[in-house]
Amino acid sequence: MSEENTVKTGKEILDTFFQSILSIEGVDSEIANALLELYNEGKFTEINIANRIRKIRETNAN
Amino acid sequence: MPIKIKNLTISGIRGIQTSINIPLNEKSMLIYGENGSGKSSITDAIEWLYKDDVSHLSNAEINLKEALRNSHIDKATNSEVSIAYNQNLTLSRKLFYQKEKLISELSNSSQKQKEYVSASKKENLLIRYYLLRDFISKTKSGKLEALSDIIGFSEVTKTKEILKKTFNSVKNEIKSQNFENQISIQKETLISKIGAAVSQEKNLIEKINEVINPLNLGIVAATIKDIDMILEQISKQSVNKELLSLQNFLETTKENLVSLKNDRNLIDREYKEFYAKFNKIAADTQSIMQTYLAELLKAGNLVIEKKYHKDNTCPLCLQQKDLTKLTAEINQRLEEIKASSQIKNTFDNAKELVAKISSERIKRIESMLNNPILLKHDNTDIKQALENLKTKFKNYYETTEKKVIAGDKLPDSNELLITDNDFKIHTEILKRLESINNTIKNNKATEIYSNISASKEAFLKIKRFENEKAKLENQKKSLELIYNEFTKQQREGLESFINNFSAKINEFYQYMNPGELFQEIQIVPMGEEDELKGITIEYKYNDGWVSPPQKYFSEGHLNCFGIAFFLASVIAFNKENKFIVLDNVISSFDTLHRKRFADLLFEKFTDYQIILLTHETEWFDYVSQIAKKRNWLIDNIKWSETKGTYLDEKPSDLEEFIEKELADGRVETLGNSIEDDI
Repeated sequence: MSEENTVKTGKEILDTFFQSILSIEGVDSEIANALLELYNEGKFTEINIANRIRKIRETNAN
Repeated sequence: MPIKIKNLTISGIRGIQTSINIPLNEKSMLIYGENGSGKSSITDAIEWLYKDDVSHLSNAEINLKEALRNSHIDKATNSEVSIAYNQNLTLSRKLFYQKEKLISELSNSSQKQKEYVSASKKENLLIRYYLLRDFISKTKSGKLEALSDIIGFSEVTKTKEILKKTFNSVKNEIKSQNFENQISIQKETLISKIGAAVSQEKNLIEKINEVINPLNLGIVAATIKDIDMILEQISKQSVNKELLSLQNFLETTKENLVSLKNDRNLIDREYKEFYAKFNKIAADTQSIMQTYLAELLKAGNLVIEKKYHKDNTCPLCLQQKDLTKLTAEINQRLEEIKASSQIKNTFDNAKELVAKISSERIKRIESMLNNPILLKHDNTDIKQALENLKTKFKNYYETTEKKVIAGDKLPDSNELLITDNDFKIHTEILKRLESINNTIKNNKATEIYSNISASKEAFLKIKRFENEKAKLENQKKSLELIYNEFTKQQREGLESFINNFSAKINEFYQYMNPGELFQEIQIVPMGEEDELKGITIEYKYNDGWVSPPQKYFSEGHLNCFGIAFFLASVIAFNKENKFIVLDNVISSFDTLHRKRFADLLFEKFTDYQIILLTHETEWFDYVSQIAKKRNWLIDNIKWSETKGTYLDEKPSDLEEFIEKELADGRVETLGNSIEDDI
């Protein structure tokens, strides 16, 4: 039997999602980029995200 | 190209005393061996090669390495399993003595080998009889965890929780800032200073030009930057700067007090939410304490599972307890803990909001208290009032440090309420301002300077608040969209997995049990749309849905489901390897189901390399007839005192084969062999 493996693993679901995060309609590209970067760097934690998005607000304010 | 086995060599492991070599050359193999012949030595060796562990040898009563090593070999001889694959890849694991200690290690493992082993560990390569009901016996959340582990879904759940918490944190930030209140106060200032709550820069400039008209400065403002230049011009006239400074301080303090006065409703409302959630948990601390016990309970399960504790007593209190029942109770408690964890999450969110609102107000008051003008004797009352308000907000903050589990109590909201009395100083400030304003009215330049300066500050503050609010709202919106999209993709991924997986399980099950009453077997996710809590198994029986399967399934049916589940897992998740080992899996099946299972393998798994081990002679005979036609290798495994476990040597010709079969008392297959040969 030559069945195609169509089931995505958790890692594949995450990879696919983050690959498409920049194209989600209505999403601020800076936020999307920040999340993508943290995911790619293996630093996707609540604290890291909170710090990064606060920085975005502060940078824009300046 | 999928990986298959070319050659398997095992020496000094379990029953294998010397060495067995199986030149599979990517072919499937059927191995017969009586009970005790050491068939499972092959399965054990393969499991050990990949996992450095053997599940049935991994408990407190057994030293894995000693159990793995054949007891007849001398210390200088290594125990070893080595597999050569079709992809120019060889994997070997050795077990050897080093300073009286048994060491297990992969031999000469390159990066490629390490990556292959790591990927293969997650695959479903072998199944044994006693593992068949492993999944079905788990709790609903246990099933979810088991599947999540197989497909790495726990990482997805973790990521989703992080996204949700981030969204909630930004949402709480917006709420805690109470921007509407702050903007409204500044608008009031604009109205009182220039008679209009202007929102556009050009309207502000128009108003300011109107205000400066009586001073005949000979200049007009064109942009907001020009306002400082105008203020400088006015200050050249007789402006009372000291009075203006005091007025500015009192105006700012007044605004902050109004803001804090409005915020007391916000903190009171959020505190009541927190208080209710706190007391709900306090009324049932047991369930929340359970969340802290989760790890202990899981450890307890492990202790029983690994047989670190084997008496029919509780491993902790040592009271009489049936271990099977105890395991079921622990699993039930772990299920309840899941629900409690969700209550705790909403409680944590309410607590975080009270902490954020109160700490933000404390920060603002501290900033006011840092103003050196408060050191002046005239402002002592204001300083005290501010310190009192700081204490009041601190009281709220301190409630968030209470430990509900430790039996701490929260004060009733009335005890913390910030009352009008706490803002008495506001009236005093208004009186002082009225007096200052009356004085200022007598000095046109000072009055105009004050109005322009205050309105400019108010306008800029409004813009800053609007800007901050817009940024936070924008981030909140983005995070919400991201979270929703993530949930959608997670759900789709899970649905695809479940549909695909269910269909395969049902297909294989129905193949083995044609025409039976159990139909449409499926695995079903449980929980809210974005909060998966567990997985259950259901099937149609007499036109009604039945769950769990144990309700009507016999032992044979349950094991049949286990095989169907394993085979579906192989198709769904094995990406590296195209071989599987099935060790004695049909023991509880009747003759018909055994044959159906063999047919299933030959029909649906033709492109897999299968190593099939059995001690059932009748089934072996049935399978070997088909296996021969499919070019499988077939062999007998035997055991003797002198040789240990060994593979029967292949007969070189028909005559030798017939002699051997007769010697082994296996006459029923001879007819076919002779016919085939003829």
